[in-house]
Amino acid sequence: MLSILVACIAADLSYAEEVTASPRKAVLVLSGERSDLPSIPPFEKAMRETLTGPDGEYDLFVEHLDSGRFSGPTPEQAFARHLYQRYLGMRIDAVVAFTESALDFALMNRSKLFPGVPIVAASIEKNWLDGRTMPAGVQVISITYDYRSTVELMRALKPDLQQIVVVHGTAEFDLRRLDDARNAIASFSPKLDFRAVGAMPLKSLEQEVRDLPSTSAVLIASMARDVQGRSYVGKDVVARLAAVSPVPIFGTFERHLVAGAVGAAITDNAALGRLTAMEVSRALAKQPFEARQVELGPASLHVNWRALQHWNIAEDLVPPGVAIEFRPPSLWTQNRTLISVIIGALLLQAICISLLILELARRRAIERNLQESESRFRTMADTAPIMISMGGPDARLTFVNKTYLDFTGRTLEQEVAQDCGVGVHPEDLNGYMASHVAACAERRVFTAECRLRRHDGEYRWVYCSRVPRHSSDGTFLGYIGTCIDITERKAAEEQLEKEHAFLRQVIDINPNFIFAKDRMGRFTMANKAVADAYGTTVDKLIGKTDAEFDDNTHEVQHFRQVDLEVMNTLQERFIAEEKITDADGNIRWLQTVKRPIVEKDGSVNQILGASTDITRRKAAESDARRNRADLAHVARVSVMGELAGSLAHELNQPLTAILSNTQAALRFMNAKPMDVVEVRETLEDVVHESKRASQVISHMRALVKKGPLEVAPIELGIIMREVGELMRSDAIMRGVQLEFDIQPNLPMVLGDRVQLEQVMLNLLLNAFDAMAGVPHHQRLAVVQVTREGDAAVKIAVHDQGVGLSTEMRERIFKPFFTTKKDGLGLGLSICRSIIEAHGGYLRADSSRDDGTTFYFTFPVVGAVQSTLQGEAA
Amino acid sequence: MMNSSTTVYLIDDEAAVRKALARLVSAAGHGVHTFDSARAFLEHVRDDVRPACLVVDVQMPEVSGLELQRELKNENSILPIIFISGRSDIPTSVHAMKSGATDFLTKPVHDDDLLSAIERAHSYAVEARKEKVERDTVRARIDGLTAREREVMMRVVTGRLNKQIAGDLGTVEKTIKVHRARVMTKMQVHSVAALVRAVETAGVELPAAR
Repeated sequence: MLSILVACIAADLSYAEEVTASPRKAVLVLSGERSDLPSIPPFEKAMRETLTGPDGEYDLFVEHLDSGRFSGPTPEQAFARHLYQRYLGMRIDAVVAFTESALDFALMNRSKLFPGVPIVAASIEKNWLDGRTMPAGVQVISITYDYRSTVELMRALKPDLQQIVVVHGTAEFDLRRLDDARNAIASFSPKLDFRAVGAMPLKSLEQEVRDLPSTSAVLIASMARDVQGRSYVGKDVVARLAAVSPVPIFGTFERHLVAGAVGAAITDNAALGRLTAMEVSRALAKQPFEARQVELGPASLHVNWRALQHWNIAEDLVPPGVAIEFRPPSLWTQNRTLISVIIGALLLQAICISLLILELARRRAIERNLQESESRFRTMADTAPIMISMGGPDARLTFVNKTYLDFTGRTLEQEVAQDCGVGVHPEDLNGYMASHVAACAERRVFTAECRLRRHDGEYRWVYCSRVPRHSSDGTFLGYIGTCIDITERKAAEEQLEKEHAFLRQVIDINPNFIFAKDRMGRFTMANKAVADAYGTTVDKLIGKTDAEFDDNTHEVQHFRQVDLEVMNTLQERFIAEEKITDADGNIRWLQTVKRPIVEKDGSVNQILGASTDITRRKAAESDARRNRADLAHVARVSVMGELAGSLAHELNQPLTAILSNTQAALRFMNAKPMDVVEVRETLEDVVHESKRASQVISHMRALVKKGPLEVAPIELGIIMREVGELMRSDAIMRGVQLEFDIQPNLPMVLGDRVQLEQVMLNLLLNAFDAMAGVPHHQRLAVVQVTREGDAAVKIAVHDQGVGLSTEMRERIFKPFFTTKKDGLGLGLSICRSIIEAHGGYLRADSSRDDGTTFYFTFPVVGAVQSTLQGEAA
Repeated sequence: MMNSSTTVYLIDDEAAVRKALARLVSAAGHGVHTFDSARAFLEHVRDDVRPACLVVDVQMPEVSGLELQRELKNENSILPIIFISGRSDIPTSVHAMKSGATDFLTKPVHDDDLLSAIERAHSYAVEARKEKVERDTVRARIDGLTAREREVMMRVVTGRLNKQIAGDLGTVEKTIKVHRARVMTKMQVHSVAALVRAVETAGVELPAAR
């Protein structure tokens, strides 16, 4: 630290000695006019501030010409000599000339005092430069006096302005300003008149001003020197004139404004100072120094608030952008501290008061709430349809609500005096008292259902509940009790139970299975029939699954599968047949309906099922099937019986041939020579005929055989041929012509050939019978077999008999209906059921002239009805 | 061994039976013609010279054996018929026999039965033939009579006297006598009895005696 200080001092000393090696720039500011110009301080201050930037270090020397205060050439020369001596040996880096007179002086003495040094002249009137050329190295910063703006301001603030009186001094500067003002005002003619007033003593001025018409205004141009030679009185003049002038006074400089002028366009000297400093820096930075045109920006308009008030000029006449000065500081700004303190204190007070008020309000609100709550409680208690009571720690009643009193028919006083348990039905009293005492002892919640005597003597079922209450610190305060009249509910409960029991009886009496199961397959409901089937009781069945009672896993699996399916698809299922193995090991057949039970929320977790035991029905069905088969057999046998005669004849043919052939053969063998060939042929024929005979026998046997339906593909052509052979002899005997009209390329049909042949035989026999009364040559029976669409074949047996009436056409198919003397009457009904079992339908058509046709269709192989399979099973 | 072979017409719709029977009959030395239906037989031209017989199945489609019998009767055929039947149906057999069948056999047919029936039929045929020839002769003779002669003859055979006949016909006895003589000559009889027999033979119906 000390070493640095030493260094600085050393540096300083060396600076004084070694001028040329000094790093600090020396700037000489020459100020013209007067040293007490108000414009100088802001200018200088701004310059210093701007110059002492990071660029470098400057030494500022300010010298005042004071040419305004001293007149004559001698002062200037003396001043020059003074400067020379003073700054001898000192290098001056830049010169600043402030105002015109300084610039003149600088230029004149440049060569002597500071040759080759750049000069920056500031605050030079632009007009002053006209006609003057600056030598090299001189930078001028010009200013103008903007009277035009001032005049516009005057017109704005005084709309009725007609004349401007310019007051001026006698100095050259003053006269220049006068010219400026005149020119400015002239540009507004003919709207504005110009009048110059100056070169008179102040008193006269005052007089002049006092007499000014109201449509005029005063503009103080400049009074550097008055007529009496006094210098720089402008400020005083303004003050004096302002005191007496009936019209507003405007000025040129800030001091005029300060002194009382309404407004002025003021040069910003600080800006000027900054600008000058910048030019100086520029000059010092670069050599040679090139001058350029630099002008200070326009002056800004300022208005004096006090003056506005003085001349009653409305503040809102002030154009925007014009600064209003000298507003009296508000009370606030004047007495900041005091006011703050006062306000602070007041604020504090106010806060306290409001807090107190709030507190008060809160308390009141609480009180009110409490009261409201009390009355609400009262109302609630009294309007509640249940009996409410409150008791103290001693279990004595302290409060009962209206309903309570209405019920018992007593008053509050009476109630309070009551003992506990009064009015309870004698049968319920013990239980009630016991649990009450216990609860009281333990200070816990107590509930009871009992009968309580009402005021009219009737005992009503009530549900009582007592709850202990404690204070906030845990002290036991007593009970709050409620009693609800549940008589209706109890009655409803009883009714429900009765109905339930009845319904239970209903479902139990039903011999069908009725049950419900959940998703796990457990019974949630079952009737007695289910329980019996499983050899258990309903109670033991609930909660258990089928698997626990039915050993057959297939059956159980099937049940589960269907149950889950119903629950998951939400579809009802009808199962035509299913097996169940009951507790005794018997197999039962059931026909079941299962339905999903949908909860309110749409989920399904149970199924409801009902099953009918169809074991007997199934047995009956198979019995019936067996009976039908038996009957069919019987019919077959009887048909065979009817054909016996012709069948015997049928056998006779081959027998005859055999006999005759062999007898002939014997004779041939007796001939000499024996014709061996003849004999052999004969014997071969014998063999053939024997076979034919046995065929007939086996065919007959097949027809007579009793057996189940043998369903197989049948070729109808072959069947018809066999039928024809069987019937041929009969036909001949009866003189009937039997014809077969069989379409070629018939498809195979599916059926039992024996049964089909039986039908054909039956129909043909009937046909022959029908024609008994017909003349011989007209007896024609035709069997027609044709295709019927793609899926069936139609077989028709036609006779030329008398025909059947419409009524008869159906009656003949009824069992036990016959027109034959000793007929059973079963033939056609059996034929119909046989055809039906094959998927066809036997019917008759008849007309008087055309005879009768019995016809039916047979399904082609591939288009078979399920009944056929069922029958075969 | 047969004395005389005969022609047998065999009708049966059943081929095997027909064949077998034909064999048998031909083995016995007869000539056999087989037909599968009555119609076929009727259409066949028969020579009536040689004696023949018919063996026919009763139960046949279209035209049955009995129908054929009737048909032949209508034709005045003297062909003897032997029926063969698959069923021993009494009414049918009675009817057949009554209608003039030679025999009615049931299937299966024994050779002896058949062949003896054929023999009988043959004899009958021969006999019948003879009778026919006779009848035809007499008939021809009757046809040769005039109307008047016929009238006279008719009365004579009923036992009327010449006088009575004359009275019937409105003529004299003498004329009647002449007619009578002529009748006797034409009829080639010598006695009234013979005349009566001839007339009967011819199958002419005799008028009722008055």
